[in-house]
Amino acid sequence: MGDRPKDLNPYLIEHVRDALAHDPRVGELDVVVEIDGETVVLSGTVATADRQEAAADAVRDLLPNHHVRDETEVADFVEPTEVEHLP
Amino acid sequence: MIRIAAMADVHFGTDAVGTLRPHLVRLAEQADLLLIAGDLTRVGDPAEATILVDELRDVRVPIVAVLGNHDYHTDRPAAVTNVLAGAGITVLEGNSISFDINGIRVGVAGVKGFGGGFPGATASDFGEPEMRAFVGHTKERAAHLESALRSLECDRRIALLHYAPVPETLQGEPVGIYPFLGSYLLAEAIDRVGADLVLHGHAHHGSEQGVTEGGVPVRNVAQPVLRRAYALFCFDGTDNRVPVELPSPPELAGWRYNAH
Repeated sequence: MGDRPKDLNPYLIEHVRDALAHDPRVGELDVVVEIDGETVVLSGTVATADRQEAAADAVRDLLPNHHVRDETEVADFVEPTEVEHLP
Repeated sequence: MIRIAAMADVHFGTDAVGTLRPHLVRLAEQADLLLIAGDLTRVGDPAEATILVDELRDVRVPIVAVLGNHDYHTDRPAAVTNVLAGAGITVLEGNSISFDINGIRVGVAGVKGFGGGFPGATASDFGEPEMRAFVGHTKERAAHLESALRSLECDRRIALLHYAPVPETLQGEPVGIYPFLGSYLLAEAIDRVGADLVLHGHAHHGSEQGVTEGGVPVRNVAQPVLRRAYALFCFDGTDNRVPVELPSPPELAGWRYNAH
């Protein structure tokens, strides 16, 4: 039997992503999750400021011994400035 | 001239009140139609759809949508559709609608689509029932898309999807999840009939522009890709795109395809 793997982050990352999808406060599938030691880094775009806050809270609830660094952006619904002309 | 506004993946929830409406005030001056390529809601709660239709209430052009995977999450797609339809929004799933705009007839055929992957890395409807159901669902959606496109006798035809028909507009996503983001079967259905534009969403980390093997422009209008409320497209002429010659699926050994 081999040594127990020291780094189980790949599993943990997927559990965090799953939690963000299913947490009723969040419901986001596309938050990028990275774990560096005791720090969880969130990035990508979320739909609202409430969901941005909720995503970080959900990770803190799941991993209370980790620090959360939230680099997500809230969707910006600005008006378009260009038109694409198609043939 | 036909002007199209398109958006996808707004993922509206009860926490999004007032975030979209201020940015749509000029849409009716800029476009003749608004097309929404799925994921209108966060988890498919009809209350979320109610919030969205209120945000869209000042958009005084016809609105056509397909649902996305988020709109199915709580198993109430019919209720979500009813809310949208009650506000005058046309929700397509395997059917089509057409409009006369400035003397030009433009048709929109819509399906949600589904996954399965792209040439070189595709799933097969073989083995366990769950696997056959997965790929079978995509084949069924592609067949309905083809039928819907064929039903359109229009100067311009647009395919409105949620899932991607080509891998180009997925670039930026992990390659390993491409089979969950779209299927070549959708592009093949489009190329078999011919179309002028394909719009989809779903791939938040993807790219904006692609093209089918038959030369049909594909645009990923997911909000995180656009980084704006909607994209604008304009057809300046009336030339209809000619479909490419593809072998009909029954001629391919081992294929079962129920397009008609």
